[in-house]
Amino acid sequence: MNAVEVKGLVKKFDSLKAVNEISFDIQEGEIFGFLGPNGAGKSTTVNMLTCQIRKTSGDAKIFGINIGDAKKIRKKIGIVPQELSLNGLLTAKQNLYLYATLYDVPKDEFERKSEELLEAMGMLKRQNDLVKTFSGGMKQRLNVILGLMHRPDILFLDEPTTGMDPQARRMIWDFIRNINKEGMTIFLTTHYMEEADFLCDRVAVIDEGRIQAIDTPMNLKRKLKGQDVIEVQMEYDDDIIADVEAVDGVNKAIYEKGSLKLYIADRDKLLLDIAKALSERPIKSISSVEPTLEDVFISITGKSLRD
Amino acid sequence: MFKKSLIICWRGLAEVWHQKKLMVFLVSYPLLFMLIFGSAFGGEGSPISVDIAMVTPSSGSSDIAMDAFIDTYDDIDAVDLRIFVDNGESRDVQTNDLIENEGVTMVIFLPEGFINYDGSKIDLDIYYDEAADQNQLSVGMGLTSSVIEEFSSSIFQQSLIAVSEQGLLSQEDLQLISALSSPIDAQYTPITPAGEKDLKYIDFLVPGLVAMTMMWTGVTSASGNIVEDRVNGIRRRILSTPVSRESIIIGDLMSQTIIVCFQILILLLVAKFMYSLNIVGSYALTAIIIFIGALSMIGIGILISNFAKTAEEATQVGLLINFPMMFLAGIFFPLSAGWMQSLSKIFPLTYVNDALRGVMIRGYGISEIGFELGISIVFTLAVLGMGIFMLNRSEAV
Repeated sequence: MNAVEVKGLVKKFDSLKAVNEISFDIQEGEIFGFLGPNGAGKSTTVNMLTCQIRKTSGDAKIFGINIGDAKKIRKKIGIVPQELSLNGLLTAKQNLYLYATLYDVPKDEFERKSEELLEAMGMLKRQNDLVKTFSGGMKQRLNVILGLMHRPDILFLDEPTTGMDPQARRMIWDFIRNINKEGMTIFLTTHYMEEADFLCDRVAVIDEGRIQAIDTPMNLKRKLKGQDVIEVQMEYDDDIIADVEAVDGVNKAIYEKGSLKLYIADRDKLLLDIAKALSERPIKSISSVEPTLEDVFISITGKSLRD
Repeated sequence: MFKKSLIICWRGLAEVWHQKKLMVFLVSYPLLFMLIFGSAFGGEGSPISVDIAMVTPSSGSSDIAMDAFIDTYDDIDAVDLRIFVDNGESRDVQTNDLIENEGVTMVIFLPEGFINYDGSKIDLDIYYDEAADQNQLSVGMGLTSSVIEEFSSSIFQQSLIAVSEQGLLSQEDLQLISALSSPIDAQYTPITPAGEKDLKYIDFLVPGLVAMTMMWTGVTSASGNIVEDRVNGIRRRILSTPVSRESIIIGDLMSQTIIVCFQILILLLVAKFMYSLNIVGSYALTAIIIFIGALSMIGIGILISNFAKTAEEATQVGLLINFPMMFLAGIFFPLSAGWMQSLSKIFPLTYVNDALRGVMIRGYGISEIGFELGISIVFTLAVLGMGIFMLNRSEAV
């Protein structure tokens, strides 16, 4: 059975279609990612699937249960909201106790589970401190484990690492991989390429409320293989993009961080033409690069993802 | 189901418990009010006394009647009487002098001959300080007019007796004239309310403070908490768990009610042991009224939370409702103007306050405060129902 089945799901806010007829399945035990910029419709989708807002039309099932049946679904799912919704005036352990009780976790199970989760997040020592005294990273870690007290079948994480430092992010990633290994299905949204690349078994690229592509990160990158990505280190000028895009076979060009990135059909044939187009401009180096998910995103949506 | 209400309630209490400053504030502000009002108006002895000066004629002449008149004043507890001798200056000047230098409120100039046998009336010049405390003035005026009335009547009686002794009137005429001269014989009997002892100022003050406490904490903290939970996403997170709305509401109501009742309990205990508060009526009935009153104020808070986007906004709306309610419910001052009394009828606190006073001061039972209690219960159910209905509608999935 699929963990999630979505068919033609739509959410309208007044006239704005935040989510526009999306369809996808998530298999049990999978880590599935929604990759897209802010405002692409990621959170809206999660909120519909977790029964926090009502769908406008379409169908969605979680483990075979229609999302209209909120009572049943809430018991099966865990939610890690994007905003840090923590009770700052309770201790970390009291926060866990609150949600454990709301999810009907027995007391002894709570003791065991809370210790295990706090330990995994490296905050066992501070379990009896008030949450308002925690650093931002600690709050984010607590935010994640609050959704896990009841061992849900599927965990929804809405941008779990936004604004985190690399070390803290790595910790959350390892944590998510571990609970996934123990059998939990994961649905996460992110606008970090590396996050989707590192964690996800499959990624849906979402933009303007529509799914633009769904595949494994590897396959998405491989589809780019028909294309090559070359990077030219050089100075920027106003005509540079127009000049190279005029070359037949150059699909897209962007200038970023001191280098010109070109998405082209065939490196070997086009290199000379490109060199001509860039004539007179001093070039520091030209190199061929492995495509990243970011490159995939740019080639699919025509825009770059930014924090 | 009930377990989840308990955990929501526990959460509300634990949050307050972790804010020690807030705890201290919640407990101390009703006490502070008691301290301020208690010392300002409390005091020992009779609540109001008036300073009166009597100015006797410079000739030094006096008669038995004049002495009797002065003694009558002197016997009144509420009067602080001092005697001066006319120094010959104009009465305006003398009065001003006495008001400024002796601190008196009224000056009574006694006439040369106190009883005139030539049929002319006695001239009694009374001057008073227009700028003096109104309560003192009205006490002074009231006392003076009743002393004069009583004294005139007794002079009249004595004159009648003197006349009849000379055989000019028959016994029947005498009785008829006597009865006609004072047809009403008023009798004043002081009654202490059912219970015991005499009541002190604190006994009147505390029911008002109880009502005030339930209003401030109930309205402002209930609305503030709900709005704050909504702003920082906690409400939504709790709603996303398998818990019914009813459980959340019941839990929130429980924690708020416990906090308000705890505040009031401390207030009553301090009033009891420091000011020896005297609750005349039933303790149980008092507790029931407090419970219902607290719920109704929390209901208003929940209602407000539907209209406020931020906790600050909720506080402002709360203030807007609380201030008129506090004064118009007659917590501290009895209402005089008729239209204000009608206006006060729309505030639920008026009924709670009336019921509380009835039980705590007059020792009323359930039958005597049934109307006020009934209105309070109906109001409580109405605001709670409305608030919860609106909350459900705005948060429904």
